[in-house]
Amino acid sequence: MPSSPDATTVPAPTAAAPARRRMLPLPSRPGRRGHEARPVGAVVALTLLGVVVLVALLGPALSPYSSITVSGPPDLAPFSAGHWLGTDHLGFDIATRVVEGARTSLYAACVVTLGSAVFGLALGTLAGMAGGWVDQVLMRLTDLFLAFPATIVAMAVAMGLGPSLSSSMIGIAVIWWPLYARLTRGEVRRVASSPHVEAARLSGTRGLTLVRRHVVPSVLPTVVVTASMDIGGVIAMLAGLAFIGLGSPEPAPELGLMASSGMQYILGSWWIAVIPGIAVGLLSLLFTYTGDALRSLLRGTGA
Amino acid sequence: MLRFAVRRLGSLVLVLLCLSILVFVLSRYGGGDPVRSYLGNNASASAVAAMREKLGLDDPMPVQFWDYVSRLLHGDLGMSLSTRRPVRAELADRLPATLELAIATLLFSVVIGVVLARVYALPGCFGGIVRFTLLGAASAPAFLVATAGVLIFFVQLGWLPVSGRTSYGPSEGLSGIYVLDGLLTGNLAYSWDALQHLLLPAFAASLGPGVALARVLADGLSTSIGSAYARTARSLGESERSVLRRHGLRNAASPALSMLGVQFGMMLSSLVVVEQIFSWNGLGQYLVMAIDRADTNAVATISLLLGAFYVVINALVDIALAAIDPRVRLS
Amino acid sequence: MTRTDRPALRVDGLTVRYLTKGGPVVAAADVDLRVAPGQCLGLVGESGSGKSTLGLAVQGLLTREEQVATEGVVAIADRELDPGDERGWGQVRGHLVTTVFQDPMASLDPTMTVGRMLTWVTRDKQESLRWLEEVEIREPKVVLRSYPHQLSGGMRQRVMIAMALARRPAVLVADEPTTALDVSVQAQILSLLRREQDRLGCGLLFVTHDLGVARTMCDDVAVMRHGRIVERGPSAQVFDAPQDEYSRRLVASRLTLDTDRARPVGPPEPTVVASMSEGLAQPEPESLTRRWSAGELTWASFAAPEPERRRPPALELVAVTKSFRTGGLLGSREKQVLHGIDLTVEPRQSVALVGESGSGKSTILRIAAGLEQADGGDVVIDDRGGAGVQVVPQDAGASLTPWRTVEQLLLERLGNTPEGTGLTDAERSARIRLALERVALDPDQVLRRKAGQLSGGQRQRVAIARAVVVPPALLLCDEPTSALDVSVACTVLNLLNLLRQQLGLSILFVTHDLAAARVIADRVDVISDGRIVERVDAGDLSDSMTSAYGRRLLDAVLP
Repeated sequence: MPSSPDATTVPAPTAAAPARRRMLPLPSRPGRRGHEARPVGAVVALTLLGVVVLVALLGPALSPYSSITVSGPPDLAPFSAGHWLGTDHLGFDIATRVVEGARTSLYAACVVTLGSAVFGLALGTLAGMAGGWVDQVLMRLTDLFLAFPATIVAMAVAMGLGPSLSSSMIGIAVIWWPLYARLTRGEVRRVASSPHVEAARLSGTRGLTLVRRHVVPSVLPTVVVTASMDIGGVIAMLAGLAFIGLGSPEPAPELGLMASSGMQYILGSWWIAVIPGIAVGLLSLLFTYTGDALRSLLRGTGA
Repeated sequence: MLRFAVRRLGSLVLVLLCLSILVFVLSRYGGGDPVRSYLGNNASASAVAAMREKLGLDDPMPVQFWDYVSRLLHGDLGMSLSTRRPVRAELADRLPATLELAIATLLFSVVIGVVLARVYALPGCFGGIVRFTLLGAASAPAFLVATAGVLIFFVQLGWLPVSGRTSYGPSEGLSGIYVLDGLLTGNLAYSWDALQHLLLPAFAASLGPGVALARVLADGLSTSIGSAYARTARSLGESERSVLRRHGLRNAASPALSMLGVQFGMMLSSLVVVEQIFSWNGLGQYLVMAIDRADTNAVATISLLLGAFYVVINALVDIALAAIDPRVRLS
Repeated sequence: MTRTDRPALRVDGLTVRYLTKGGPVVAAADVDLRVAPGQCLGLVGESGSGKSTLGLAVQGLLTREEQVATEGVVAIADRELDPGDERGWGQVRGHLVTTVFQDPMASLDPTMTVGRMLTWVTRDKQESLRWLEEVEIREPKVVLRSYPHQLSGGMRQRVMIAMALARRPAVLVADEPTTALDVSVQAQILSLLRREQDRLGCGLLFVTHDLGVARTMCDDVAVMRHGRIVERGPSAQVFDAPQDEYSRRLVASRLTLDTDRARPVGPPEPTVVASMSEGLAQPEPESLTRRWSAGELTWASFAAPEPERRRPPALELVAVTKSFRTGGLLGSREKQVLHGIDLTVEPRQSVALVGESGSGKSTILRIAAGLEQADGGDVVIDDRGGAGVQVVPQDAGASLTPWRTVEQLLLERLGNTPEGTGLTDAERSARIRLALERVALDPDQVLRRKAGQLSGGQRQRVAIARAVVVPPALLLCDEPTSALDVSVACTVLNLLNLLRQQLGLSILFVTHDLAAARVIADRVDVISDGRIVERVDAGDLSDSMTSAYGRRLLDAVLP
C-alpha cells in the first residue's frame, strides 16, 4: 500500500515527457463540442474496417493471380482489363499484392499492438497496484524506454536483428509497450486511490478480485481505444521501416517495400508507388477513425 | 529553476549512456558480421582474424564498450564500411543538409500547428469536417505525402524541384545550410533556389507532426478559455482577444510544447524517408544506404546521433516547460 | 427593501434558459432584484436553485454561451444592458461590476504571478502593493512575486478580492466566496468583504447556500428555489420568521449550536419517518410525523437494549504518530502530521473529531480504517464479530463503483464478512433488502441500478446501507454531510442517528463543522496540527470549550 501521498503520483518532469503521440485520451469535457453525429461515424468506421479486414483475410481466394509471380504485361495503368489497379514494372498484379500486403500489415500491426498492450497493461497494473519500490523500479524502466526516440530505436533493433518483417515487429514492440505501461499505471493509480476502490477494499474485497472487479473495468476502455488507434500508427511505422529497407527483402508483397521500389518509376508509372502508399494511409486512417469514434462513444456513455 | 535544469540535464546524461549501450550492443552482437562485409566473403581466415584483432572484436564486452565510448568522446567514429571513409567525415558532409531540413520541418510544423489549431476549433458542421479531415491527414505516412507532393507540384504543375538541395553547386558559405549561406553571401537567387528545393520535403515531414500539434493546441486553448481563470479574467473586463492571448496561449503552450518534443521523434524518422525520396544528401539518405549495404558501424553511429538529437531536444523542451509553467519546476 | 437610494444593481424580469438536448431548462424565471449602494443582498438557495446562474447573468458572463437564452434587463449604476447580448458590457464588466468566485485556486491563472494579474487591473505596481495591504496580506512584496499555488486558500481569496475591488466597482458579486475555505478563515474573509464594501460603498450581491453566512453578512436576503425567488426581506425577518413553506423548511434544516441534540433535526422527512416506523415495529408514519413536528420524538425511543456484559473499546488509539514524505529524490522532506494521538471510542459511543483541513483528522480516519499505517503507537479495534471497520465517505457518489449495481455492491460486502458467508442466497438477498429499507430506500427501485442512475441523496444512503448491511465494529464517517445541501444533510444525520440507536453502532465522525458534530456525537475531540487539543462532552459544548483553538472553531459557527 502506498505509504504517503508521494511524489510518484505526480508525473515527475523527468526524461519521459508526457505520453507520446495520441496516447492519452483528452480529458473529457462534456458539452464543449458536438458529438451528436459520432455514433453514425462509429458505425461507418467500424463497417468499413470490417470490409477491409474481410477482404484482407479472403485476399488470396479473391484474386486469380499470385502476388509473387508475373501475371501480365508490365506497367499497366490502373483500371486495365483484368488488372483493376494495374501492374508494376515486372508485371505483378498490384491489386493482388496490395491485398496481400494489407493482410501482412494488419496481421503484424495487430500482433505488435496486442502484444504491447497486454504486456503494458499487466506491467502497468502491477506497478499501479503495488506502489512503493515495485512501482518506482518499473516506472523508471518505462521512463528510460520512453526517453529514447521511438523510431530510431525501432530502426536500431530491426537493424541489429537483421532486416526482416519480424525484426521490425520486435523493434516496434520494444518501444511501444512502455506507452501502455505508463498509460495503465497512471489510470490504475488514479483509480486505485479513488473512493470507490477504497470503499471496495474496506468492504473486504482484496487482491485479484479487487483489481478485476473494481479497477480493470475502468482502465480497459482507455487501453482498448488507444490500442485501436495505435494499430493505425503501427501500420504506418511498419511501412516506414519497410520503406527504408528494414522489412522483408524483395519481392515480398509488403506495402512499404512496394512503395519504395516503385519510387524509381514515379515519373512514368506513378501508380506503382502511390497505390501501396494510399493503402497504408487508408488502413491507418480507418483505425484512427475507429479509435476516435470509440472514444467519443465511451465518453458519451460516461464510461 | 536552475536546480531543475541541472537535474534534468543529469538525467539526460544517463539516458545518453543507456542509448549508447543499446546501440553498442546491437551493433556488435546483432546483424551481419562487419568483418565479412568489409573484407568480402572470399577473405582468408587469417585476414579475418587479423581484422578482428585490429577492431578489438575479441576483447571482453565491457572492454569493448569502454573502447567504444572513449573513441566516441574523442570524435573517432570508426570507418564506414560502405564508403570506406571515416564515418566522421561522412557525417560532417551530410549533417548540415539534415539540419537544414530538420529546422525547416520544425518551423513548418509549428506554423501548420498554429494555423490549423484555429481552424480546428471552429464550431459547427464545418469544424467537424475539418477535424475529421485533419485526423485523416495525420495518419497518412510521410512517404505518401511526399509522393503526392512530387506528383502534384513537380509532375503536374512543374512548380517545385524535387531532387537534391539546389540547382547549383554546393554553397560557398560556412554553415552548409544553403538557404542561410545564400543570404549571408548576398546571393539571394541561390537562397531562393535552395528554399524551393526545401519546401516539399519539409512539408512532407511536417504534416503529421503539425496536425498532432494543432490538435493539442486547439484542445488546450478550448480548455483554458473555458476555465475558471478565464472566467475571472472576463469578469475583470478582459476582452475575448485578451483572454485568449494572455491566458489561453500561456496555458495551452505547455502541452503543445511537450507534444512538439514528442513529435520531433516522428519527424526524425520521417526525415529519413523523405531524404530518400527527394535525394536529399543528408544523414537519412546515408542511413538507408548503410542499411542496404549492412554497414553496421555507420547505422549504429547515425542511430546514436539521431537518438541524441531527440533526447537533447526533449531535455530542452522540459526545461522550457518548467520556465513556462511554475508548477512543473516546483512539483 | 430597506433602502430607497438609486439601485446599484437592478434586475427586471430576468429569465435564463439552458438549451439542452432534452429541451430548455429554466435556471431563472422572471427574477426582479434591487441592490442599493452599500447594501448587501444575499441570494440564498440549494444547489440547482439558479442562484449562481443569476450571479453570472448580472455580469454579462452568459452572453457568449451558445446554449443559453435570456430575457429581461440588467441595469448596473443606471446603465441598462441585455444579459444575452455582449454589446455595451465591455465598459461595464470589470469596471462597474466585478466578482469574487468560489474556488480561488481554479479562478487564478496558474501560470501568472499575483503581481502580473493584479497590476493588469491596477495598472501600477505601487497601487497593487497598496491593495494587497488593504486586503490584509502580510508580506505584499513577496506575494506579488508568488504564483497562486504558493499561497494558502485564504490568501488566494484575498488576492481575488483585491482584484475585484481595485477598480472600485458599483456592484460586487460574491459567488460562494468562502465555501472552499476553512471555517476560521471564512470569518476573516467575510469581515474583510464587509469592511471593504462599507468603505467603497458598493452594492454587494452575495450568492451562497450557507444560511449562517447569509445571516451574518447580508442586510437583506432573497431565497431562491427552482429559479424563482420565493421569499425576500430583511435577513433577520426571513430567518426568524420565514413566511414561505420552502424557506421555513430551509431555515428549519439549518444546524446551529442550539439545535436540539436529543431529537431528529430539521423538519419531518417522509423517507426517514418510514424507516423509523420500520424500526419501531409500529407502522404509523402519521403519528411519528406529528410527534416529530411537535418535538416529542426523541432518539431514546429507538434505542436497542444495552448488552449485559461490558465490552472493550471499539477503537483505541494510543500515542499514534504519522509523518508523510514530500518532494522528490533530492528535496525530500518529512512532515509530521500526527503527534501522539490518544483516542478512544467506547462501544455504542459516538465521537466527533473536529478540525480544519490539514489538522490530521482525515489521517486518523484513514489509519483507523486500515488505509494507512501508523508510524508509531497502537491501533486496537475490537473486531470480534469480524465485520471490521466501515466508512461512510464524504463523496458517496464516487465511493460506489460506477459499473456495478447496488445489489452487486451490497452482496459483495455481505459475502466478505463471516456473518454473510454462512447465509443462503435467499437470506443474503433478504439482508440487503432490509439494509436498504433501513436507510429509507425502496429495494425494488434501486437494487438493479448503478451509481450513475441514482440521485445524490440516494447514493449517500446506498453508501450507508453498504456500511451497515453487516453492522461494523466501528463506523467511520468522513464529513458525510459537507457536500450536501442542508435538507439532505439533515436526512443523512437523522438516518445515522437512527441506525446508531437501532444497531448500537460505535461511531467516529470526522468533520470541520461543530454544529453537525454536536448533533451526532456524545463527545467532541478537537484536533489541531496533529494534536488533540481539547476533549469535551457534546452536551454543553459552548460552555465547556476552553482551548483557544476550540473557541475559534466555536466562534466560526455562525448563529
